[in-house]
Amino acid sequence: MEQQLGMSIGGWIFIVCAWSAILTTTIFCFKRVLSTHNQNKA
Amino acid sequence: MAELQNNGREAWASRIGLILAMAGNAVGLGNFLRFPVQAAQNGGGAFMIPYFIALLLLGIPLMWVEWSIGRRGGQLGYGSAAGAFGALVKSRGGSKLANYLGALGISIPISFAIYYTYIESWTLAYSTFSVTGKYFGILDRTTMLNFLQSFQGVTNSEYFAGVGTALIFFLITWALNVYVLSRGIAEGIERLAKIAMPTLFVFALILVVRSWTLGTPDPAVPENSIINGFGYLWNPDFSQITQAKPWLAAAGQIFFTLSIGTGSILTYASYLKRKDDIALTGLTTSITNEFVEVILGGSIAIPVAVAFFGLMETKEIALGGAFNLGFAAMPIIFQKLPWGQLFGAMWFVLLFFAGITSSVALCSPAMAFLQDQMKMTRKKAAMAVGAVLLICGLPVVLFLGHGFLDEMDFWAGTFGLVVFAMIEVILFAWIFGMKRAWAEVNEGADIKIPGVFKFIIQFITPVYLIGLLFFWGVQDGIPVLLMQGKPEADIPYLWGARLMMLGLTAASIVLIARAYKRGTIRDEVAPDLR
Repeated sequence: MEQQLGMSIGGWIFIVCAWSAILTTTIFCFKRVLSTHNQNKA
Repeated sequence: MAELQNNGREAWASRIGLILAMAGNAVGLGNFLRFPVQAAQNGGGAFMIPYFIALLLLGIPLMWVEWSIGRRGGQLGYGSAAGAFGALVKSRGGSKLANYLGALGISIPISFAIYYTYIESWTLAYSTFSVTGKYFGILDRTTMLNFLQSFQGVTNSEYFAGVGTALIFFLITWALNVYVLSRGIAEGIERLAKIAMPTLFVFALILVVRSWTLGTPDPAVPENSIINGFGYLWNPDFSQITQAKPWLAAAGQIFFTLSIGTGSILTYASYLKRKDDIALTGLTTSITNEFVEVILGGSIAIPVAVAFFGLMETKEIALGGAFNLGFAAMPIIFQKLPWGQLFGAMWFVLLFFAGITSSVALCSPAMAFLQDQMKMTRKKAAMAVGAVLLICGLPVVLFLGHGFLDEMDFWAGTFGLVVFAMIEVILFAWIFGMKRAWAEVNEGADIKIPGVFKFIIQFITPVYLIGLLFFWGVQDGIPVLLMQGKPEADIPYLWGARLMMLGLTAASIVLIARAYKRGTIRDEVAPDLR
């Protein structure tokens, strides 16, 4: 029977990279949205 | 109070409301069920490579394209592709052709909504079953699958006498959709998003924390653990990504997950003002969807299934598809957890909220067309769309076991999206012209889009779509078209589904012709193209 031995180093690299990229971009986007919230457009 | 644009159309009440509505449009059952299955089956962590490449070369560019076409169309009084497409073309004849092609931007999303609403009603039903404990006591997958199928009226069981319960939940779901649509953009769709999306996030976060803290539920079987579950999803298998399958799967997943090619993004964007930002808001919508999909969705179903069923059985579950995972495996898992009824209710309520925010979006192109071009009041338009959903939804409910839903899912929910996106990007980048297109995307932008996306939108995205269409056409389209491998008894039902979708397209074309006669789609070149 095939056994999965937890998360490999590759697994940790991928999850950390993917989560970091998404979280960083999400935070950047929402910060930018909130900071432009009160700007008036012509 | 709904805001009005200069031309009398509705508008979004707030930017956050718009983002939540657009995110709700994108976030659906696929974020929680389809993505983890696709990732696990296509190389685990290595799947992230074709996935993020597809996001950058297909997903985000097409988001910006569809938002742009929508905002521009809205300024000219068009809330759907029928009108918005023609506005991209410099000749009257070409404009007319483009608008008739825009009929797909009404018939594809409404066809999608018809069967999606039924699936959404299952999540409402299962939310109720979780609270009442109706499925509690069923601890093997075969019986749980039988529970689902007897609910659907496909098989018989002691739990349901026919399809009546499913029909009741379908009617409730249908009524909720029609109610939201009748309330309009700000008071209906935006308000729904402001309730549903934060609730979805909170429930999903609670389930993620529950998932990560599961450890090894049965110490007697130490290999059934949550960390092995995450390993199944994330440990990379690079040998897989040298083949075409994960690349096709990744492109497909990006398509479905961002709701590209349904025309609903175009419609939502038509309620923007001229100078409203598309660049940042479109990116924010996309990344919010990715947050829900990769971080939340990727942390619940598949890892938890491994923790309770083990790796081999989870692979079987994954092969059985998203419904098997969501409606047969997860209910068993909740029974094995303390507070399982609460977690079960949370899971299915979040799926319901993910579903309803998407289904109202899928109905919005038809709503916009009926209001803007047929000059119906919002309530009358909601009743008309509701009538279509109900009349066309009944065969989906009654003929589920004969492949009716699957047939619609392929043509409207799979192939149709890519065809529509292809038309969008060619019209925008090549007919409208990339110089104008780039200016349009950047109009009012709150971020500077890297210049490389000009090249991507014009060349890479169309080629990617052609490749996708070609592979899918050959691999799946031809067998589905020829009904290969389908039982003889099901063939009339499959033809029924096809005729229904063709009928909706024909009806859309007839309505476009009437709009031209009424002058509500103007037979002229758009003012800025003359």
